[in-house]
Amino acid sequence: MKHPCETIQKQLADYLEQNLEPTAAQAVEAHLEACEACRAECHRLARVPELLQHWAPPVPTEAIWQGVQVRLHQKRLFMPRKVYALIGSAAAVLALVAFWQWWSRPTPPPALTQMDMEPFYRAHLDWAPHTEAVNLHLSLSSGGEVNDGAR
Amino acid sequence: MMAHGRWWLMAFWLSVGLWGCQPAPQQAGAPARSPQEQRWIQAILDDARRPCTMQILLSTGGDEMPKVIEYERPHPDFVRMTERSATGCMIGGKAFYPTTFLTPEKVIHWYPSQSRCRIVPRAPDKAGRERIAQLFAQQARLRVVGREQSQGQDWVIVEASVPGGFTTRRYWIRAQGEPQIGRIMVRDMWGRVMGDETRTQIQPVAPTAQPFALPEPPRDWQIERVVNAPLTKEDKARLKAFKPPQGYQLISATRRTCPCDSKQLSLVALYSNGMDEFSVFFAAPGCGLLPASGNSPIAGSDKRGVVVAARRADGWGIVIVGEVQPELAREAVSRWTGKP
Amino acid sequence: MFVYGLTDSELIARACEGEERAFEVLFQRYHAAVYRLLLGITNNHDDAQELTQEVFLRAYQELPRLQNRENLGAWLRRTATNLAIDKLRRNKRVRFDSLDAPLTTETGEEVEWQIEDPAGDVLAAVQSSELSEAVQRALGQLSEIHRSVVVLHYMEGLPVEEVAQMLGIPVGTVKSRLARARLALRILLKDFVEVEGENE
Repeated sequence: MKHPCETIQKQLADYLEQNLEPTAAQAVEAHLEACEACRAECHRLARVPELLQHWAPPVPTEAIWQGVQVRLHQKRLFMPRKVYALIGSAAAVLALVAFWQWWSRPTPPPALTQMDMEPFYRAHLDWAPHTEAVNLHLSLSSGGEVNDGAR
Repeated sequence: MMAHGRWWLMAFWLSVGLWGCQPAPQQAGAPARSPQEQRWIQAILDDARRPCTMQILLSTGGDEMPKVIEYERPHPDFVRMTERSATGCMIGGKAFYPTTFLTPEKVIHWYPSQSRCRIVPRAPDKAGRERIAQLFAQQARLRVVGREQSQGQDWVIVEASVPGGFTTRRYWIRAQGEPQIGRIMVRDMWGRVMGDETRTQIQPVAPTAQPFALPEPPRDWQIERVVNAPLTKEDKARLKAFKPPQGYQLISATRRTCPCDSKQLSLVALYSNGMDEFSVFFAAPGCGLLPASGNSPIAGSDKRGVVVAARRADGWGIVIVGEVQPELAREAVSRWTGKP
Repeated sequence: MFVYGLTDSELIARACEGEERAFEVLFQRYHAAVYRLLLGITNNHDDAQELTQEVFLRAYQELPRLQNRENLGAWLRRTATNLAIDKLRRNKRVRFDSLDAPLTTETGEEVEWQIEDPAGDVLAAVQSSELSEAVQRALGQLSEIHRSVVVLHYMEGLPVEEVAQMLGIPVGTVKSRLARARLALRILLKDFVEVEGENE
């Protein structure tokens, strides 16, 4: 004799794929409303597609790209480029510019004295989506909860 | 002899210049990401979503004592952070600590010793957060700045920054096995430490569908709610007229409770370059926090970033706050107000 | 010179003018997703690597003729899927037109309709690995006909009708295969499907 749960659980995967006749689907739904165990099993099955999203196999990027490059060059698909001559002089200019930027880098503006901008900082940290503790903590403590209890 | 000495001096300065612009070839967009760089990018992005538990020692610079934080992410969209080093508070025979909860819809800050909790709609949404991750993958420049041995592991220290951005972040990435982040140090553009979190006892966990139940605040608690409302046509026009600094993109915009007064709603938009985030508040004439229209824009900075504020002749005000270079913020404000 | 911030269509335009770097950036953007799709269907690293190269080689040749340049990702996925299916057909490892066989894993183990524990060694392996590795192992345990529908529908998000069209099988067959595959994966990923507070 088959337990009703066994019959239902056989159909759950098809039910989730919408692969059951309407009457069979209704029977499954009616059973799920009443039976906690089958409902739990249905939840487990329903989680499967979501779990698959966590698959992150290592990708042999370099090997693939080298293969693509070799095959493209064999077919002479890449055009020759004429920019190499410029690179040397550009690097020297960049070096000077970078040095100048480093030399004349700005200093921080003073802390606000004109007006208390605290509510804006707080409102910004309320929703800036960094999940690092650094940012969450800043929003936590700027909300007023610091160790000594003072704001 | 003198001429000889000058050549040496020039050679010295040139080599200093070249050393100083090590990341420059990358900034010019020259090399593509090496597989190693890609792995680091991936590790940094995964760090924000991999289900795990860990303990964080957090220092925010200055004289403040480091905090101990218990961090749990049972699901990519859910986080619970409890500040264990803070003063606890007994409620119904159980100790409670300041805690922040993140759910897909809400951010809840729980301040038990003040009998207060603050509930904020979680924005930007998942798509917005993914957009930020995408910008990071596209715009962040990485370079190795050191190696270290600690917690019985080898770490490679990778520094990330976005050209024209505000912060530089150093990530301690585990050298062996699956890349994992053991420490994050954030500095602002002047090199000041904004935050330094060291993680210990990192435990990956299998994601769960119902990560945690939110605690009910006791009845006598003060509950602050931030309200969100859809944008009006005028909001959209105002937003369109605002041009962010180069590299930053609009991630999310909403009308929400104005920081000055809970009765007024103001338009707020979040911009990101993948690493740095700033908000722009467009405050209606009723907002009392902004400078009078005749005054010049005000600017300041602290360890949470920069703030620049100004008011237009028509009474509307603008505040830029967060991780953005003050000069760029000032320019963006000037462009919007039409005042130099 | 700065190419990272460019949109796909801007990069395509530059690649068409022979700028190798622009094409390289497009490659960097999409190769991992293409490789994952191909590895998912073929379950073979060498095949996936070779086919990923083939996809990008074709992409380079097709770029000037590409109609919807902002939809490069979709074009790459479609090409990858077609190449993978062709490959499987050529290998004659799969009869896509066959009627649905009962679900048998590649180790010869037949998955029954009852919900039961997998073999001890599989269970131990799943417990000791990260979820990603467990998924990889579980996909490897599926037969190719089931893996193809799982990858295309669950992972790539293609509607069942499109999957049916691509594989040349009826929609009902796609759904049946998905149901059987889901059941097998539920068993193979047993330790990860538990909902908190409902431990068996």
